[in-house]
Amino acid sequence: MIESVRRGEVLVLTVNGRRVDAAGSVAFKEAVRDALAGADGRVVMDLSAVEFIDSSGLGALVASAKAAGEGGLELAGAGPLVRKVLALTHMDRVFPLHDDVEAALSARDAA
Amino acid sequence: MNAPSPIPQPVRRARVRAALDAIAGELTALGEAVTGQSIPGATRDDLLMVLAEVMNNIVLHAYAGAEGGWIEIDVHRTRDGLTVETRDAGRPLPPALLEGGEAPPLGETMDDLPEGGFGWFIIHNLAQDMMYAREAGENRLTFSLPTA
Repeated sequence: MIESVRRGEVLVLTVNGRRVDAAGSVAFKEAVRDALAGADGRVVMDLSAVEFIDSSGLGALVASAKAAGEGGLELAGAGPLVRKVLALTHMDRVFPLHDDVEAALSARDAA
Repeated sequence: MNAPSPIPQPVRRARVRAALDAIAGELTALGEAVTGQSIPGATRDDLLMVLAEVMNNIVLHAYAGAEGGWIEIDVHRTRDGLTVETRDAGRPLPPALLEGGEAPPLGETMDDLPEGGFGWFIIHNLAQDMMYAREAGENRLTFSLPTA
């Protein structure tokens, strides 16, 4: 569900599922917590495969951001539906958003 | 010749087991059914977002773990957008939930950030003309989603 790769100083978590929703939010949170073990810097989550998110999935992203600690959680590749949910709930003020992972990696001053 | 019909056109009707995994499956099928019916992508997204919150609430709060629950959805296309009806036989909807909602406050720090409470806010933000009726032990919720 979550693939984790270190790219220099940045830990990149790739979400492989198409949905981050109530049916999968518990497993999602556990997978992110496992993937974050030992992480201490910037964490970028690649959401480009995610077509759908609901309020439970949003809660799972918030839990992931808390688990990511001081470096926080940055989001990359969010599609129109994900962006709309983030904007409606004002969570776009909480998560730094990048067009894609490459943009996140080149944004050295983010976070 | 092809003037829009004033009569609502059926888009999808389905009966779903009241379980979170069944809802995820139905929303995926609904998204595919709506795509290609000349409904704007943003309206399709709104439909999926609102129905997800409504149906998840039915499972988690109206049925609240009771066995054998079901949800029926009925989606029509009108001149202005979509109309949606959901029915279920769970507990009645608390009236306060129909009155609209505020987004939960984000708080001061990361640890204050809410991890829930967004569902009804999303519903009221996107859905219009919301009506609720309790009839013969069933909940019926109707709302519309404009295409504009």
